[in-house]
Amino acid sequence: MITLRSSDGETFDLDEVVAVELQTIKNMMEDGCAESVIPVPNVEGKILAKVIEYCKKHVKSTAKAEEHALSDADLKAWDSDFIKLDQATLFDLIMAANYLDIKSLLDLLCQTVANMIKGKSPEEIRQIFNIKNDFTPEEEQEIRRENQWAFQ
Amino acid sequence: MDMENLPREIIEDILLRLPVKSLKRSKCVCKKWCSIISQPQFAKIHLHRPQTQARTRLCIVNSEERSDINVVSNVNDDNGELLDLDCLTDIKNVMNSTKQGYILDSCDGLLCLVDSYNHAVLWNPFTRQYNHLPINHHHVYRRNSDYFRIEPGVGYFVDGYKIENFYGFGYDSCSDDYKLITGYFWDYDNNSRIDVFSLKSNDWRSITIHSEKHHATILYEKGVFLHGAAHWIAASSSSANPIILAFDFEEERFKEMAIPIKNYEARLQAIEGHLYVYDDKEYLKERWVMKDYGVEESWTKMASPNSYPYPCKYQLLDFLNNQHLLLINDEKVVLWDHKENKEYNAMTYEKLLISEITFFTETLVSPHSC
Repeated sequence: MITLRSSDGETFDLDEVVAVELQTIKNMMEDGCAESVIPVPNVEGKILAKVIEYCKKHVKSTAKAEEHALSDADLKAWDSDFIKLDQATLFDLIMAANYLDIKSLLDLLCQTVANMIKGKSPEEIRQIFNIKNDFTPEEEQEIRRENQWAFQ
Repeated sequence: MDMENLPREIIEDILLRLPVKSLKRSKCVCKKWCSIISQPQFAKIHLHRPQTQARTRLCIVNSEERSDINVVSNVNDDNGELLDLDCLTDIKNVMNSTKQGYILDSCDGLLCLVDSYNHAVLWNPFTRQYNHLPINHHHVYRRNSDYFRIEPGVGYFVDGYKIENFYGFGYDSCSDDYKLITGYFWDYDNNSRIDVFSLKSNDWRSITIHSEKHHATILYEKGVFLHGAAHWIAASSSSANPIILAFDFEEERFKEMAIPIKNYEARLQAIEGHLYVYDDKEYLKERWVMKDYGVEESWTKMASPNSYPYPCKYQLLDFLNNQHLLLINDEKVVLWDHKENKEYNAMTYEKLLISEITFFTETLVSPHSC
């Protein structure tokens, strides 16, 4: 049993088999420097809770195909529900998955963001993600001219 | 956390998943995104992402005037759907001449077009960039050269001797370079000469290859590139059957491979990293794929489709995922479900006389030497 402590002091108990899904934690365990409670200073409680929820679901699926095993289709459906998040949580989760080195979660989240970008105009993209347009009018005109066919 | 404050490498990870059109638009969002996408390394990494490799496109040249290039957007996209036909450009703009050009081959999203005067252009249909390659001054010209045509199996003549002429275009991973080769077999001895164009150094050089054993004659001059080599169907003087002659871009030498089709209707195709050989007259019944590249025993015959849309005359382009066939005729491109015996999806177009068809990948790769 491994215990993780979030930046805001919440603790979470995990079975070892779940803890190893977080590569950063796995490395610490293998290096023998995993203490009784592992602090996760970059991640706050509500985000860490979601990360652990994901890992628990995905461990069950890679374990021996027993009664608890989810089919690929079921897991995919669960993932599509999981990513229905507000943007702030989405990006916080990305940072957490990156820090804790959970490849499949990072992959899922980055793909989710990519799907939000696909097919949108630059204005729409800026609006969705609240990105500042830092081109000068001349620069913007030049960039659009170079890539103009992409707007048809 | 928000998008603006994400670390650069995560923004890069997200952008690498996008198709080229979305990337072009994303460049216009802000300076940071523009800078990430414009890095030459970005195009390279993007090329090898599985999402990119899965975006196979089909390029159809309209032979009516040899002027239109139509690109079927999405033979096999993220959702497995056949999307709209997208007329990209007038080939005359790209070829910059009124001479007829043809597509030699594609590699990493670059199409190589050759016209009958041995002038070549590298073109990325998705970024709209094209690059006219320097003329090959090593090129062998006829004595009376006001007109010459490249015809398979005929070649052309110098000093009364017949030369077989062939072409290949592809990527040399060892030198990280795109290369175009023009080859000649001399009729009077067993030597062949290859002129190699390197995109990196933007120049041509000429090499002579001594034939080790017997003489092979390339039958159809367009090489098919995969796994670091260009491949042609050839007749071998030591075998009654046709063979594959392949020129390795890195080692710069020829190698031979046996094929399971014993007649000279054999044709080659490279689709998504596999080499196919099919009988041009019996393509529904005689179609083989080389499951393990280079292993002759791995030639596997593909099952004939369960059904076919008779009586319309179609050309079979590809078997997709064991259920669908990609077919083409003068009016439409069709995804045919041969298990259900019906059309899954189709796109029609006006007055298209197909002269050539090439599969290629949608990439950001630049046709220019950097």
